[in-house]
Amino acid sequence: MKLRIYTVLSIASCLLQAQAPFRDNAGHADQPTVIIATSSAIEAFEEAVKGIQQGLGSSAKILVLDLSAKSPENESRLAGKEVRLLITVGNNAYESAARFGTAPILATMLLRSDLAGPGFRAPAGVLALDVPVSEILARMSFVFPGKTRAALIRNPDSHSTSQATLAAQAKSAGMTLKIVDCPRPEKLLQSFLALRGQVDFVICPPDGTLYNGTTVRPLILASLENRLPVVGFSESFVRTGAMAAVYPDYFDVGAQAGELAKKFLSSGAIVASEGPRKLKVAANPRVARLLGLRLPGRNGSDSGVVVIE
Amino acid sequence: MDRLGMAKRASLAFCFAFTGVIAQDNSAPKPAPNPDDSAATKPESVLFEALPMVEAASLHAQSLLEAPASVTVITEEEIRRRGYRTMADVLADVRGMYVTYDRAYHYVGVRGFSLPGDASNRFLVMINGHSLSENLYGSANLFGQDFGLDLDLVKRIEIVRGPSSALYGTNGMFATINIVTKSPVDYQPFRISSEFDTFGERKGQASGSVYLGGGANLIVSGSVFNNTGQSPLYFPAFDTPQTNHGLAIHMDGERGYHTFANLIWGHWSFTAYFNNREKVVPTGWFGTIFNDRGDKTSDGRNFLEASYQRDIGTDGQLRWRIYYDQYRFWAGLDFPSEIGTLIGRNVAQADWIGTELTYRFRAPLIGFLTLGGQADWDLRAHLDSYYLAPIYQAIPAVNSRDRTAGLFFQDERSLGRHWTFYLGGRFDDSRIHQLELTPRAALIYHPSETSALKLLFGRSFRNPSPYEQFYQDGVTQIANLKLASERMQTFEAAFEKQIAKRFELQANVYHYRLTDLIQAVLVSDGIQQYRNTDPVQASGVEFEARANLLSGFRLGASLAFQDTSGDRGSVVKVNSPARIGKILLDSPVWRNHWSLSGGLQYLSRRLTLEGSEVSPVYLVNVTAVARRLPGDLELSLGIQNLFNYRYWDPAGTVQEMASIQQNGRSCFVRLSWAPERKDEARVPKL
Repeated sequence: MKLRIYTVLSIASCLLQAQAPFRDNAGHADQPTVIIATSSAIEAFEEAVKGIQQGLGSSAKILVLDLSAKSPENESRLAGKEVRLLITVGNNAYESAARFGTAPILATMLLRSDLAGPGFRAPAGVLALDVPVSEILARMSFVFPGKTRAALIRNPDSHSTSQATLAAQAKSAGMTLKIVDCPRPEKLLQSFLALRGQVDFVICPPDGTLYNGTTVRPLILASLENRLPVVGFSESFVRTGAMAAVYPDYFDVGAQAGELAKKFLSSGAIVASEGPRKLKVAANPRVARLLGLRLPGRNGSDSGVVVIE
Repeated sequence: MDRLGMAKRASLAFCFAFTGVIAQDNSAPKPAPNPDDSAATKPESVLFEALPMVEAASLHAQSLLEAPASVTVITEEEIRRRGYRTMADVLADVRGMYVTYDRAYHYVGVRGFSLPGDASNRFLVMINGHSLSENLYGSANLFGQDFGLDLDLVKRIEIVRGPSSALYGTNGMFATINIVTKSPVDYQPFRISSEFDTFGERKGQASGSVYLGGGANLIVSGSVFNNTGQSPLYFPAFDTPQTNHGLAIHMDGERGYHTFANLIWGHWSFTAYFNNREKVVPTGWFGTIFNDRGDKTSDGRNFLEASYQRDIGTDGQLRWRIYYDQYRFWAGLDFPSEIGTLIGRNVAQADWIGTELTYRFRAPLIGFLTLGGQADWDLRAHLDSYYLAPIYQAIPAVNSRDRTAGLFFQDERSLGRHWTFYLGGRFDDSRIHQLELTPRAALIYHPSETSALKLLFGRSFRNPSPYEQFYQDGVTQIANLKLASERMQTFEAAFEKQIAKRFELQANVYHYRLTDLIQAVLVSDGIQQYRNTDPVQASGVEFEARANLLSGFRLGASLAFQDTSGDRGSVVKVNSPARIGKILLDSPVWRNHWSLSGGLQYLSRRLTLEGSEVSPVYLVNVTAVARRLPGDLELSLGIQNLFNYRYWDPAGTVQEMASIQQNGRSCFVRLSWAPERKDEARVPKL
């Protein structure tokens, strides 16, 4: 009896070790392995990961790798031969996968400008978060009813779309768009103030050089002082003082990525580049009141604006 | 060796071998480059960056939260959840504070200091940084319905312990209380409230905010109250047939109004604050006729203010304010005499104007520097007393107008990653009082992001008020032209720790020495004079813990110990509890449609002026609030002194009794109607 107990213990120990490398996996042994690599505990990333898992469903054995945990096994896991596809969430995870992974990469939750990097392996597919200006303007026609004069302050180094293309996009949305190229953050305030009296609102596309924790405060104060609304790119921006923002639905971005991955696993083909298909609009009624504006009242629609107070 | 033993050892060895492999696998990192090393330094996309808040809508408010001291903040949510109706309700739940009521005014004790009948003039009370201390009695002891701001308008209350004369001048000795009002931008377009309680409270309030165009937003509020109070009230000291056997009938009523308006427009903020409260006083104070409805007091504390605030560059902030303040006091005092009732009147009329300018900027090698100046001019500081009947007799009035000026600075400097140093000081001068210099220094150490250790030293002072220094009627009081200012030195250490985002711990230890304490001293039969008396020293320690548990359940507890030097007969020992305890519980109930709050207040025994003691106080209050009733209604129901505990507060020198019995159990209800804003956008899906 005692001999049997100890033998069972030994066998159980072996089995435990055999399972260790695949501790996070679900699915069957013959399913392809997909690693979802994320490098931050940002809430948006967690939403995206859930979306990816939903999109992939049971078509693959999924391993979620949190690179911020700094486990020494991360490199070996990224380079694992059993990995069929690497889905990266965020630009840091993409960089790590590009350096150490060998499987094709589907890069998500980053901007196209984040893809530029020296010597990085190009991803097989990209689901970037860049929101077309036309989509922003279409939504702003509801946030600013009757206002048709928009401006865009952009960093010309990271936004390559031609002015003509942007103007055409604005025209299709029933608006005029004045584009201001601002290559340096020191010129941001000056560029903004130069738009006073000429436009109804100013769009600030995501760019870490121009819009960050240091530059945003004087910009918002100038917006309030001159009663010229700012349209940002995140909830945080709206909370800071932008009147509105248009940004992707991160869970849906993840689901979209999961569906792309599922197609790749079944057919081997992957879409080279896609943008987000579902967008959210956030608005700050408090800022609106400070600016002397009114957000449109409830119109019974079931899809609404994320109200930030 | 038997077979079992060998097998056992082999199996165990096998298990441990693999376990050792696991341990080896997970212990030391491999020398190969880690894919995370580069990721740690580069931020993620700016899409996910947490951008700093810009308090643009708080142009009307000045916050004390930058103060390097022990701070308690009570939020609007806590005010609503706990059913607070007056400032006295709020402060009674604050660590280390306690409220005394003499049936005329509420007095707040801080760090064991609350001289009975004192004018609460050793700490500052502000609304949006505007001091409410008036220039006649130096008092700020309006905490009941005599406090002119309805709590519906309050965004938060900041209580900063310790000296603040280095920034605010006279009276900033024990604590500074700043009430920050809601921005017109944040307030509902319309709100109506009504309050009732079983002690006869009847109050109605209407308030709202409106956009005026051109970026201007206005909030306006007005309330009226007519409370009948408790009746009868029993006072054993008057239990004689001649004085109705100690029963005061319909003698606890009060009535009045509160108005408040705030307009913000661009960088400007304009505030108007007007109020008045009239209270019948049942205690026969000052030797007046007991149970006489002619004994009443009326207070009105009003101000108009215009302030301007703007950012200069990226780090600078300029703030300028100009104001007109007013205080009106009226007391009816009917005295018994052989020739009939002496109908007496005390009238105080005070008006003053002032201005204050502060500039905060980053200076090279110095850190953040705040420079400022303040000046006040008394237009009128008039104290008048007279008898109307049986013959008119006036007592020479006092009108001692002063001009004061102060210059202050505060330097905040980072001394590395973990240390911050504050150094500040203020020079105050006035026409009547001597020059005062009040420095303050603080050293803050952050061993981690969630903990802080603060060491604080400060000097503070209080100028004698015109009432203390110049008032004399020859019957109750004589003047003291040589009265000097009180001065205090405080040493304090505070430790704050946040654990796992759900728990907060605070501990505070302090020692202060107060010299030239101004007290009313009896100099002859019934006549008092304010004099500088012996120094007072006190030490204390305070503990506080707060927990935000799962499902929205919140728990808070505090305990304060203090000891004041001096023998038992020393007046500073009067109304000074050695221990103060508070427990607060909040919980959402019924799917978050209601919230339930409960609190326990404990005060240890307190001495009275006559040398006796009042028994410890154990008060339990409960409140239930429903915020989501149909029709935009909100309902608050509460019971104060749930167990009908009988307790007393020590009486002051003006009451001819040792202690005054406080309220028993009472129930209140508050109903509010506030329709939601209609400007929340609903953008169709595209």
